[in-house]
Amino acid sequence: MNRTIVERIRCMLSHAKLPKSFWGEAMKTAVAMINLSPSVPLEFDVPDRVWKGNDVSYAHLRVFGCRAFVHVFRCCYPIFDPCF
Amino acid sequence: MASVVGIGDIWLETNTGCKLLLKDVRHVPNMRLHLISIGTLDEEGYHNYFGDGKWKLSRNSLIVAKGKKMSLYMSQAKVIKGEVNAIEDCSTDLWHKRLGHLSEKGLGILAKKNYLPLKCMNLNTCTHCLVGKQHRVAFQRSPSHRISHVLDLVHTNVCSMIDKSLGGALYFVSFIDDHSRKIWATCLKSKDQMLDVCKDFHARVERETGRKLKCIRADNGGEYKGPFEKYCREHGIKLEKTVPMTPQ
Repeated sequence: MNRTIVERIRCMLSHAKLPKSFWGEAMKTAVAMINLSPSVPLEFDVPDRVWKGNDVSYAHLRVFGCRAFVHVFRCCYPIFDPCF
Repeated sequence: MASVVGIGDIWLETNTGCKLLLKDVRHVPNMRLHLISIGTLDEEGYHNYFGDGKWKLSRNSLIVAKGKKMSLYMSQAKVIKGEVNAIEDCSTDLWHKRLGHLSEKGLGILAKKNYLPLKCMNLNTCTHCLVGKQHRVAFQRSPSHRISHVLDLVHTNVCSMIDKSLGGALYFVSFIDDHSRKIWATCLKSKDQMLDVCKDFHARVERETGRKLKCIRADNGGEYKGPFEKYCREHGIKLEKTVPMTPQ
C-alpha cells in the first residue's frame, strides 16, 4: 500500500508542478482518494463506504494543486529594479 | 527420386495448441513439405473436414488442428517430441554465452551490423538466463480471506521519504483496516513519534466506530518494538509480526 501511496504522491506533485516538500499535503490527498476509489479485495467496493456504512459523495472533489501568488511586502519591494 | 531413410513416431503441437501423435512417420530428407496422411488419421479416430478453403481435424468435439488451402491444405505445427537428426547451427548459442548471455535482440543488432558472423537468429532456451532473471515468488492471491468486522485487524507500516516535507516530516505511517480497506496516514518527523500517532489513531477509531481494536499486524521495524509492544500489551491488542524479509 505504501507503494501505491508514494506513486500517487509522485503523480500529483508532478501534475501540480509542486516541489517535493509538499509530499505531506499530497499524501493526505492520496490517502483520501484511495479511500474513495474502488478496491479489488472488496470486489470493487469503496473503502469509505464499507467503513461508514453509507454512500460516499464525490461532489467536493477538485484537482490537486492550484495557481497561487506570493504576497511581497511593501518593504521588500525591489524599488530600484526596473518595473515590468 | 526420394528415399525413406527412417521411420518413427512424432508428437506434434498443432496450431490450436493440441498434441497430435503421428505414427510411423517416414523421414525423407529431400522432401520440402511434410505430408500428413488423412487416411491414417481417420483410422486413428480423427475426423477430417474440408470446405470453404479450410481444413479442420477434430476428435470427438475437440478441434485438434486447422489449416488453409493454398494448393494443398497447409497447417502449422511444431515438433515437440521425436528424434530429429539434423545438424544445428549452434553459433548463436555460442555467441550468446560468449557475450555474457546477451539477449537475442542484442545479438540480432550486432549481427545486422556485421560484427558477428551469425546466420540464423534462433536462440535456444538458456536455463542460466532463466535462473538469472528469476525473481521472488509473486504474492499469493489468497481467496478473499477477509476479517468480518472493522477494526478486528489493522495493518500498519512506516514509509520513509527522501525529502523533508514543509513541516519537516521525513516519514509517514499508514494504517489500513483489513475489513473496509480504509487507510489513515500521518506524517512523522522521526520514528519515535510512532507511538503517539498510534495512540491517537487508537482512540479516534474506537470512538468513531464504537468497536475495539483487536489486532495490529506490522513488520519487524524498530518502531514496532519496545514501547509500542508495551502499549499493545497494556491495551490488550494482539500484535502480529510478519516473518522477517518476506514482503509476501
